Amino acid sequence: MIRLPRNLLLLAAALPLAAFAAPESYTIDPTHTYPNFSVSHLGFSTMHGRFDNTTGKLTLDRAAKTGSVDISIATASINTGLQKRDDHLRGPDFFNTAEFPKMTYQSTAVKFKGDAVDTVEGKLTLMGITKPVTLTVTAFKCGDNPMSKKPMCGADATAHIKRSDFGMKYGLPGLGDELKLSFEVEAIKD
Amino acid sequence: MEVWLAHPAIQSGIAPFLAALVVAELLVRLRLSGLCVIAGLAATVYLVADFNFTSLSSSKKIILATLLGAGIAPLLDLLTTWQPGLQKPLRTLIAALCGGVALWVFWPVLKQQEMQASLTHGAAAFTFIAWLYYWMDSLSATSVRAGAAGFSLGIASGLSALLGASALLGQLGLAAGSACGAYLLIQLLSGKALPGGKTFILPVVLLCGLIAPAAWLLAKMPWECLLLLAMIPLAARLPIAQNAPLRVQVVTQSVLALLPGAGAVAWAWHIGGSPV
Repeated sequence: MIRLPRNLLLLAAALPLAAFAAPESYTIDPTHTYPNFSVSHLGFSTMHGRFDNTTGKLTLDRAAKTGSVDISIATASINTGLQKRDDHLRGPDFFNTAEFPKMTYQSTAVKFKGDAVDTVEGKLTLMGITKPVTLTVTAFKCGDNPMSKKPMCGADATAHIKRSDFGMKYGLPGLGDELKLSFEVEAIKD
Repeated sequence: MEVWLAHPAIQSGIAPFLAALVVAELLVRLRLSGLCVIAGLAATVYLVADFNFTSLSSSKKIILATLLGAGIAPLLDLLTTWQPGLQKPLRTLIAALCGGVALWVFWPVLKQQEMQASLTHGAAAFTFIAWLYYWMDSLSATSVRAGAAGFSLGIASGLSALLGASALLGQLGLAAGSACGAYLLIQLLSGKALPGGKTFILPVVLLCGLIAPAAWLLAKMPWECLLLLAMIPLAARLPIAQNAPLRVQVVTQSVLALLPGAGAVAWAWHIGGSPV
């Protein structure tokens, strides 16, 4: 009978655990990922809009309760349902998309509550200015997509920013300074 | 008071007009009335934006370049008074430098474009402002013509930018127009020409010569407006009766200079329609 060294047996036993603990990489599904925003319109009502084109990567290590988020949003894909308003929002008064075509969010810490992601701390870069922004995750689920059977994760998250912090000062104070950002994110495992 | 100061008509009309009126009158003995343009711009920037240049977007660069131009221009006037022979070579050199400023301002946009688009847009912005400076500087000895051209350039580039979906650029252009209006009004009321020179010309050209391509490249102003705006200094050169009273010259020259400007605004309106 061949006798395996004890260390080798221990290593073999630990391998499946190590595979489970490895960070999993996910790619954002742009057809199910939309950053939405809402802002006060002259104090009368709240205007909503969204960005139609988002790309990015997520990594999650659910055993170690760590992860990362790296999202890039095409600012020219802004959509409020009215072409003329969208043209204005793309211009230098607001998002200045010709000069700053991307808005990016890179996490610095992903915090878990139990098995689910609770908050994401990171840096939002908009119009060349980078500021810390914390995303509060209100829903989080990982599992197999019932249609495609592919493993995936999804989340809803919200954050509040002041547009003036990013140099977007046109129309203040009538057009609200505070923007509520809400993200619906789905990502498919690589 | 805050409601008043937040009104666009105050921000880009009345405030720059009053600031320019005061500066043009106060500095007349120092022959620095041309600084009225920068006073008007400063009033509008104070009310609609700020003087924070830590993050240099194209709009911030336009303001910064105009402020720096206003600082240098009186020295250039001194130089050409001391050495009149330098007037023509300096005109060509400054026109080329203005073109260089345009490339600096729009570089973040140009570098993201395809090579052909980048070259076309860069060349157009360079040529537009260099052309404007060259021909505006040829008016610098006649403050009525220069004032009329500046008035039309400011109003037309401002309104065209506004119709091209940029209120901020529009307000800056209109501020230049209001300031030039104050400069003309003093001449109209007093019947006496104000000192101008490069102190007046350079800030006007830097501001309006950068606002118009910015409204084209960053917003939706149609490119044809640049061609019409470029005609303004030529319209201000059209001959009128030299022996006519100064007041008549102010009115006639302003109407002539406004014609291509009105064409630019009409075209921007035709293509883009009214703002949101």
